[in-house]
Amino acid sequence: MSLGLGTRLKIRSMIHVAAEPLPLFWPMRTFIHHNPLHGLEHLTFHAAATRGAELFRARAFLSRAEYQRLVAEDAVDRATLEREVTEFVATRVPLPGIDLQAWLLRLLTDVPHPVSHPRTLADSTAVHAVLHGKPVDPFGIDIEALAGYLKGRLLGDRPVYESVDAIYGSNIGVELDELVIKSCLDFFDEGQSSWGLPERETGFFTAWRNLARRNGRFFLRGLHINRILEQEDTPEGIISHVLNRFEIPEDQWIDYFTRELAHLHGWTGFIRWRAGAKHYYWGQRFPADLVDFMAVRLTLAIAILDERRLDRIAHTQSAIAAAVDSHTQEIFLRHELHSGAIVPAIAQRVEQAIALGGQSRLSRIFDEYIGCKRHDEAHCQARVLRDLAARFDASTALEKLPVEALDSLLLSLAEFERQEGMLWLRAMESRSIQRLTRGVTTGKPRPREKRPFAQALFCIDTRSERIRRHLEAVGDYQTFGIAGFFGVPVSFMELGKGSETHICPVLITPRNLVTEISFTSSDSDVTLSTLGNVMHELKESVLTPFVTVEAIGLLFGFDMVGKTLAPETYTRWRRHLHSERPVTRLLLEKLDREQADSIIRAVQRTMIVTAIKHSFGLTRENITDDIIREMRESALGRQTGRTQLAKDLELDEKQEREFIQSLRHDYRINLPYARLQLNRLGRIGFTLDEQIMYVGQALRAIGLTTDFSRFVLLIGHGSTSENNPFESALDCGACGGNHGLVSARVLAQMANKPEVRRELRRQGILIPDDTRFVVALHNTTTDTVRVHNLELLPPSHLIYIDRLLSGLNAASRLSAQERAATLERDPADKLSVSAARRRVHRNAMDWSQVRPEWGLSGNAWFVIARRHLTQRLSLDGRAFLHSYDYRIDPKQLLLETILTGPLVVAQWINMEHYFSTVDNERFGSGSKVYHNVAGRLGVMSGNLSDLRTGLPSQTVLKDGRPYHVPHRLITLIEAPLAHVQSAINSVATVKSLTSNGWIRLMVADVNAMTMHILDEGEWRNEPLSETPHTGNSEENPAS
Amino acid sequence: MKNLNFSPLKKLEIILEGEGQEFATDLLDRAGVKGYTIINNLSGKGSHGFHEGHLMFNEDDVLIMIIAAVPEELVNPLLEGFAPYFNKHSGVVFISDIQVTRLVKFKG
Repeated sequence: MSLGLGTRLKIRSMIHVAAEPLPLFWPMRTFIHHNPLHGLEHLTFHAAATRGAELFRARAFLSRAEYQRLVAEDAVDRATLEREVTEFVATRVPLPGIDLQAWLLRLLTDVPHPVSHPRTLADSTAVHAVLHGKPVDPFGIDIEALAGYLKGRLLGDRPVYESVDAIYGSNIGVELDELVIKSCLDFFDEGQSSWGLPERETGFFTAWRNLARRNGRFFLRGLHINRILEQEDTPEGIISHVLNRFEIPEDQWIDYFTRELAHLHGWTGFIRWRAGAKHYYWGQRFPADLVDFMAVRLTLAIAILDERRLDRIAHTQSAIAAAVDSHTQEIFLRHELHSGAIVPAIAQRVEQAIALGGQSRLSRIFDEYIGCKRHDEAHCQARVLRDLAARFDASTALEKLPVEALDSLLLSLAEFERQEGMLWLRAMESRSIQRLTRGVTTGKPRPREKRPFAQALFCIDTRSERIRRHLEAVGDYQTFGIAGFFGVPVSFMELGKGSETHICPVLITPRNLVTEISFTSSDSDVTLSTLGNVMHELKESVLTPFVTVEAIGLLFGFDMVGKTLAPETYTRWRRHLHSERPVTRLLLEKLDREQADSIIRAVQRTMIVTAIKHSFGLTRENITDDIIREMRESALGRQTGRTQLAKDLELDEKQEREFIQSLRHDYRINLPYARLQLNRLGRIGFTLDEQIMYVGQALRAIGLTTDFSRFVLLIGHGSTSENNPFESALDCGACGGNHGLVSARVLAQMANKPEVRRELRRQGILIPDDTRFVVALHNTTTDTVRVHNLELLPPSHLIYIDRLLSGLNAASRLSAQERAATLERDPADKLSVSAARRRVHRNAMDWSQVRPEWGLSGNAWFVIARRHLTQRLSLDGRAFLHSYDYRIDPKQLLLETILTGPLVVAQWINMEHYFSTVDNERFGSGSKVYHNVAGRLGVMSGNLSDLRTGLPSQTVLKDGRPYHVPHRLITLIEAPLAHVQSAINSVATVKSLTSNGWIRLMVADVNAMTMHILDEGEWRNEPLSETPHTGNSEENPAS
Repeated sequence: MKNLNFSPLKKLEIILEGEGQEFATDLLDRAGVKGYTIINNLSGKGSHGFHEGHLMFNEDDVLIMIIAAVPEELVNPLLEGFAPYFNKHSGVVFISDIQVTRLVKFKG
């Protein structure tokens, strides 16, 4: 039986929608910080946190005890906490003799654990009785209501085997996960395993099905996969077949899929990412998507259920419903036992009774259990209430409460504890908001008399904040913050590789390709405009694989494919192996038509030589240029008649025709393919207009349009650590998890070009002739800043080099000293500058170091403003700083770009840290100590687990406690309020992120001396106090 | 000029969030649609407010339009396929009658 096209497409669409609440997972080589609840961002933060907690069986807030420790560390604003409690109390009915306000406040600050206990059978009357020392009434339970309760738990979107496990303790879920993980490891392996699943190129489901039919592992377990697989040919068909057998109504399929996928959300996220990543080598070679994954999972699920074949075990929805109706008491007891809710004192007897069976025995134990559970719940709740009342000397008031009032109190407590996380969160955010509000400098800087000695553009990354502050303090340096890809999205092809790396935020796909070419000329004045000089080398080494490998890579043998494509896997490795790299330059220019044609001709000639050698065994010296030209013309259909080659080799017409056909088809010497190659070559480089646009845009975005220094440093960043699968997480997020050097090189090369500057001058950006854009790399593990390509500087600049390097060196040492303290067990231990330097360098090289640096941990603020606004503040490496001057952005276009690009990425980073901190086991990836690399694409805990997503405990926790302070990103924009509102209203995404409370927004209007703070959708104002600007001026004279 | 043969087809104009582009093109590919045109960076107003089309550094959050000419028999399966997606996401599908001269590019 085959499904119709419409139904197949619908199932695909349903699975797509079902997977959206689950986060994407990028391979670890390019770790991408991502909000694990990105798929729920259409909800408010609180609603999404609640839904996410349910979906991932996780906590969405810290425990109360942790928040209480943060109060002690002054990270929580008590006044906000009190205000929030007052607002809550105002919504509740007052109770005689109970000061609810005081109770709740004490509850927050003094009582470490929640006080409302889950009660399924004990109502307020029972609690009331216990409080008055009376026996709990026997309880006449309504069997129908109980059946309804059980159906609510067991049916609906809950996977059938989960319900079976909950009733029979059968552990099918665990076995299923294990089999699915093994199937995934077989298929998705990227070169770690010595054995590869056969026929992987046919796709996940097909390859798995073909193997599953003969898989001993399944036979040994007694699974009859064949019986299921022969029902349908397509994965969609299998999915439909299984769900129909389970009797899941179609309107619940999407929810059902979501719950299935959430079981292994790491693999789900990876497969979902991989299916959408068009440039991903492994995905192109071995296709797979979530429909395949779902079909594999459901096949295995039903096979295991069939295998258990215990007739007593119902495994369709109607059978489970019938079992609940006919054996309500037994199913209830089983559910209590296997879901862990059972009262311990009676657990053993319940288990025995279930094992022995018999209606009357079960009935007896059921009655006894109901009474016992009701009694137990009522006593637990009463005890906690008494303890609480005793703290307020309110024990008598508590006893005096009538049942209705007690009920109201219990409801209030339960509701309060449900909302408590948000209260803490907002109170913590208030503290961080105050720190900014009180610390900003509102005074205007003094105008400069001369331009700064050097200007430095750093990434907005929080780790730049320290070094910028120190650099500004040690000398006449002006610093700026810009997203670390410097606003130029590039796809980069490193020297000696045929694969591209996207160096830009994952939100965009770069259109321009930049290649690296080795450059050995001793003449430093030679620039890349002398493209002709390097053409020969280009043809031979860099571009040949680029235009050929995709389609005819195998021609060069597997070795070639491996060398050009697989190294993506080894990029990091090789960087360590080949420390002595040749000097290289980037090819940024567009090829002209003639150059592109000549590359294609060269490739075609290589193909023809290979083909002749392969088919006729001729050696290279016997293949003359004339022969090659003639064969090429024939293959392209521009020449007919006998060829010289055919005559020389005495080929008959048929042989000749076949060879020419083979040139056209196997070796792709044909016009359509040549056009495709031309298109690919067209992606290389930037036009002059594009270069002008990118340079102008980057400079305007940060407000640097005049008074350029002699040196403008473009400082990318990267990290170094050993034996660390998470190394990429420490690199530049704006560069797609790569280091930021390439982006800096691209922008510098463009900005140093006279033609670009000429046009920028016309647009009002005056870059003096003596200004040089210089590239550097900030190593965030050691805080060293290494300046690159010094040899390109003109002699006139050399006399200043020493001053520049010693300024950078001083800043990096001071920065390392400040940061090293945070890595010590006791942060009060301040190391000397030299000791700190030794410490951070050791971290970068130590194989056993699980925490080489804190990375972005601690991130709290995002400041979009001129530097002087927050220059006076030390923000402990916890703030993203984006330079922005609203005065040169009247139409808010630059601000929209910052909000939709860098801010959105920073919000992902912030949320990744938030959730990895509040529940490191579920949202984070647990301890690195137990990690094993899986399939070279991710890590597992122990020898078999789901792919671990999120951040390891070593990144966000210190000694088991949060190091990262988990709150939402507090975004400060310096501009008039209307300016910001207009920008936000015109971009739907950011509007929804702010109105749904995923980021907290503040707007500093220094003209009106007002701080506007967006709070629960309302703007509230706070006056700013006058703070004069002191120290080095950041402001340029003309601005 | 030679006599032209006109063949009727249906034109689908699918407007959706950039984030859904891979999903939508995959669905079209699987339905056997032979080609489509994608227009990026749409501006306009809908039930979710105004969408700017000039976002520089975010392709997920702009609206795009995919235009495809398909034989009539594919329209219903495609709409059935897109239904679960558009139940959850903003966007629209317009269907109109068109004629083409080179049917072979669109069918078979």
